[in-house]
Amino acid sequence: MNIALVILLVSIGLGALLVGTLVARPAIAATRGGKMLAFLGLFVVPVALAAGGTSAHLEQSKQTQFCLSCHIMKPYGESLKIDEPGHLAASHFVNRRIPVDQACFTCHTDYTMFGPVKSKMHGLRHVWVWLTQDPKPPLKLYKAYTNQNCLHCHLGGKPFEEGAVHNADPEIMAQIKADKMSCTTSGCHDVNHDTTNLKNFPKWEKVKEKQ
Amino acid sequence: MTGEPHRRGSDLHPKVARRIRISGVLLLLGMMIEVISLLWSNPTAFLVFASAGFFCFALGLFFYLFSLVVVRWNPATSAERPPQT
Repeated sequence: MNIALVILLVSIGLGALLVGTLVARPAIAATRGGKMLAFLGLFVVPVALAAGGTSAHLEQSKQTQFCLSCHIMKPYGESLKIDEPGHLAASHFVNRRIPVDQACFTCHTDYTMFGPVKSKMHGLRHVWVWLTQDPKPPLKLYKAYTNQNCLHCHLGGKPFEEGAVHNADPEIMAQIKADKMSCTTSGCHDVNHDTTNLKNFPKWEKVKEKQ
Repeated sequence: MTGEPHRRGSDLHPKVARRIRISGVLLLLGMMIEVISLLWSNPTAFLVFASAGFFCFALGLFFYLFSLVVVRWNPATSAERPPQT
């Protein structure tokens, strides 16, 4: 449990104490000081706590275990442990190129001002789709995976900038950066979450211990 | 809304007191839902907080703001003494 969550829980406890006092003795609110206390306890504090709760929930929803807590996502979590260099998601996860505790969010959010909010809206859409359409793996993304998500980290890095294939033709690099040639669907890094062949590959199980 | 001003001193109009109580109970319920949802890291917990938790918070705030509205004093229906002005 992180310190921010502990502080929020303690704040909720203190807020509940204040509200509880006002519930037990509403007559407090008859005096000038009591009115201010009531405004604090019944308006300012609840608004702050609701905002804090929303923020905490948004932070929690970035966690890998949060995403993998849905049954349908289990094979995708397993695919992260595949010990094969050609598997894009697994090689990022196993080699710690992404934070292990925020693996899904790191690659599946848009790096824009409202990217995290859009990701959460997608999350709510997942629930709606789950309830209304009974989806089955392999799942499809709502929209094509953009190169910007890859380039957010790889742009300027030696493996990307000096990669032999990336520089085979000047046009290739330009097209990748302009998102006209997809990193993931142009035949180069196209093995992402191979959920249908999970049993055919070795796993690096130590990942599980540190997750 | 027109009506009598709030009563002075430690007296509080019964309707106002009732609204404050309702508001407080709803807010306590909202806080309880928030705590449970925060300790249960799961998509369902987020949905519970975003629906039931927010609903309780919103309704609690509404009742508090509603309690600020001056209540008309009706001596015919109230056994209590009228406000001292």
